[in-house]
Amino acid sequence: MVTAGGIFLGIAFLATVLTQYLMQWPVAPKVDPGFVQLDGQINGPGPQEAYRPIPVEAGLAAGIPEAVIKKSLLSTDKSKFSLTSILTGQFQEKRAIKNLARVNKEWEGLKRFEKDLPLYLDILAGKDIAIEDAVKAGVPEKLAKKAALLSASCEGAAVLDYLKTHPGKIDPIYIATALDKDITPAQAAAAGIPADLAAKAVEASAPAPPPPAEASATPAPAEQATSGAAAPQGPPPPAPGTFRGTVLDTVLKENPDAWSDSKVVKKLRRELPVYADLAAGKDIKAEDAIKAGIPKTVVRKLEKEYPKFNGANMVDLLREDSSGLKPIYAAAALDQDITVADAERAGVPRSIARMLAGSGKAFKATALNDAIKIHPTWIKIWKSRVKRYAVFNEAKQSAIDKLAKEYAITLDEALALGKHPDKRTADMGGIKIVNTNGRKIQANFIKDKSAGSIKLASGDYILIPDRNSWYRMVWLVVMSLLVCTVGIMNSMLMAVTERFKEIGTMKCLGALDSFVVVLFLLESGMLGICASVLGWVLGFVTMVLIAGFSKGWDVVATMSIWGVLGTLGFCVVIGMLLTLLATILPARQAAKMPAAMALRSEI
Amino acid sequence: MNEQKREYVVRTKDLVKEFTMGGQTLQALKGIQLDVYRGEYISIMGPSGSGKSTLFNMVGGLDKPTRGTVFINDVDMAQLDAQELAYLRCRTIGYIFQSFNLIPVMTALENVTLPMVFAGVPQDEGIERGMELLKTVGLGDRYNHKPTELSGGQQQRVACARALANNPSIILADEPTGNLDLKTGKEIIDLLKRLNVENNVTIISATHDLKMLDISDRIVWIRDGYIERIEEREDVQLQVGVMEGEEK
Repeated sequence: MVTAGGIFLGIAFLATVLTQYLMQWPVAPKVDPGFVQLDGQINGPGPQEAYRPIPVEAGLAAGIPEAVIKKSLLSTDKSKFSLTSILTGQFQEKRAIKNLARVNKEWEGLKRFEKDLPLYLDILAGKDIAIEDAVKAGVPEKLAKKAALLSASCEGAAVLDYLKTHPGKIDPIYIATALDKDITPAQAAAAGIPADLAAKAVEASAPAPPPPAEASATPAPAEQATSGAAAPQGPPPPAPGTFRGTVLDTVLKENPDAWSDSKVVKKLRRELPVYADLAAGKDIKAEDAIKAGIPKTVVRKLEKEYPKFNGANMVDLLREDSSGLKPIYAAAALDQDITVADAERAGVPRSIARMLAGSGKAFKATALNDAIKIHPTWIKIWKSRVKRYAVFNEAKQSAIDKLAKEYAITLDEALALGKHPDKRTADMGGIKIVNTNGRKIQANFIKDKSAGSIKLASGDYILIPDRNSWYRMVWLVVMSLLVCTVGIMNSMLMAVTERFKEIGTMKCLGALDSFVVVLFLLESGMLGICASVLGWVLGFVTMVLIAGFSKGWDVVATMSIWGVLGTLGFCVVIGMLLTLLATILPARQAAKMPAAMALRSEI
Repeated sequence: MNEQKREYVVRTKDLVKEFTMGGQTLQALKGIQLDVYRGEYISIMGPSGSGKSTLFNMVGGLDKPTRGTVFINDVDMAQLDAQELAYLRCRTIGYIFQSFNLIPVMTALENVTLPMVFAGVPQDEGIERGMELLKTVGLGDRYNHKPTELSGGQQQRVACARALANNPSIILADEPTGNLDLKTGKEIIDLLKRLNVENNVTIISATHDLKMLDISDRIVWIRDGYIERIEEREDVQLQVGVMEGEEK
């Protein structure tokens, strides 16, 4: 009896669950027949289909302004308009307003970079930039001047003038080179130039054979010529035994490895080219002039008229120390990555920074510059959109509701639009509508979204079963059935033990082991069926009563007879199977009992 | 009767039965030599622990020996498999138990015909024979009663009828009068003797009841796994008195 009780209760529980499922236990309050409004969007053949096309007159009569109707006319039939278009338009307007606010706010953050960022990108590009422009853009004046110094060049003539007037300050060899004067070997020796080097220079300075050039150059006008600007005939050849500094420079250049032990030669290699350039009439760079020994103050004076610096020089300076600049500008000039965090700190709007960084974590200043350039266009776009959709707001909600009620598609139309070939189901963005039993519908929420407006005929319901608790229920039932099975097994084992005499007697009378097994299985099978049926009755009746009293008897009436019989069959089969399963072990135990047990008077 | 050449229905040869319990081997029977004639009424006697029950089981086809052989109707028990054993028990041996062992949910007739079901006897024939057997034991009018509706003596009589269901060669009776009062016990004893004499059924019983010894042909005394002695009834001195109220 204990066995029977166990199965009975377990199956009753199972039946309860199944019956509930059968009845589409409603979680939301029951919906009255008639019209059901669900908001959202219908995914289907198209949003137009959520409502039937409305004749223009009906729209006007309901109170929708003509301007709005005009914008919502159907392309195929100008006498009707689409309510969905109005709703969509309103939605778009709200969206545009939101976006316009967003881009405006972003611009607040961006515009401070608009003016100055391009300058730093010019620095990166290596352009010449005026000092005062750089200072206006936030470059420290000292730094700008330093860069200018590096980039500046001195006019060759001015330097030559200086050299002529201040011969004492510069090495005579240099002066001679710059002024293209002869250098005697004695002077060279005095300067410490190796004798063989001087000799080579003399050799190299030996003029080419053509005598006419030599003879035609008269000393007086030639000397005049050399001290001033370059003579049209070219410089006069050096006197025999002497050389020009430029030639010395050339010799040194041609023999880069020679005289490597001489300090003087090293110095010459460094500084002579500048003076050679001067001799050639070129302008020299300020830094070179400084390196070559011309005092800084002089150099500075000489290039006062050049207030620009080259971007490349600035970049070099910045590479050593960029602390004088705002981090974002330094990064721009140095072509470094700007991380989203740094950009935000500098004042770049987060959304822009994130957009620029894309899937990575940083971006380059050029990208920011492009974004800044483009941003005003976005503002324009959203402004125009707001304007475009503003008109839809003139349609009052009450008018829309009225029309919606009247022109929502019916259930049949919705089903007809559905994608399923058998036309019995229509997926509408989350509500599945299944037409069963005439007009009774069951709707399963697949997600939380609901769908369009659906007009139901009288007598229709939308009942929404709760999927989550279904899984919990299943878990509960399975657990309880497992426990039942174990209990049944236990009871049967006890029964076998108690019937040792009976089993022994049977064996004495000639029963085979298999007979005993079959005997027990049959017994428990019978027990299983009876208990299952009774259990199912209990569960079913309980569930019906609960549903009826709490939700209404018409909900109960939604059950189909086939469903009911189905659950009965299912319960009985499960119950019987479990009982049989649980009895296998005890039955085998019984079969193993020896016949002599019949003789024992106690267990 | 003693001079006729007699068949053996049960023969044992050097019968040894050992039980292993918790690593220790216990020898219940230490070499038994016993021959039972057909149509004999033999009683096995012995104190508890003597191996009486074990020998009873051997001879009755309820257990197999460890060593030695048991022949029932010239069939070596040890060679039989489960199915053949069941057959043996069904057709050759009938059992009567101390606690009757009737199936409580079946009527008297159904209990009697149960062995016939195992023997494959068709239902009508079975019912006919069952009724006859019940009449033989004197319960023809109670065929429809369940064991709970029968007295102890009546139940034991049904058991006797059941034991005869398939015309067995041997009836094994384990203390048949143990749960019965003297008067009813006497009825059973008379019944058994009648069966033994009229139907020539060999009866092997294990008993303490002197009245049963009284009607036996031979008595086997067992002690400590050995047969102490086998006596003919005539050689045994038994004083069986009469109780008040008993009918002789």
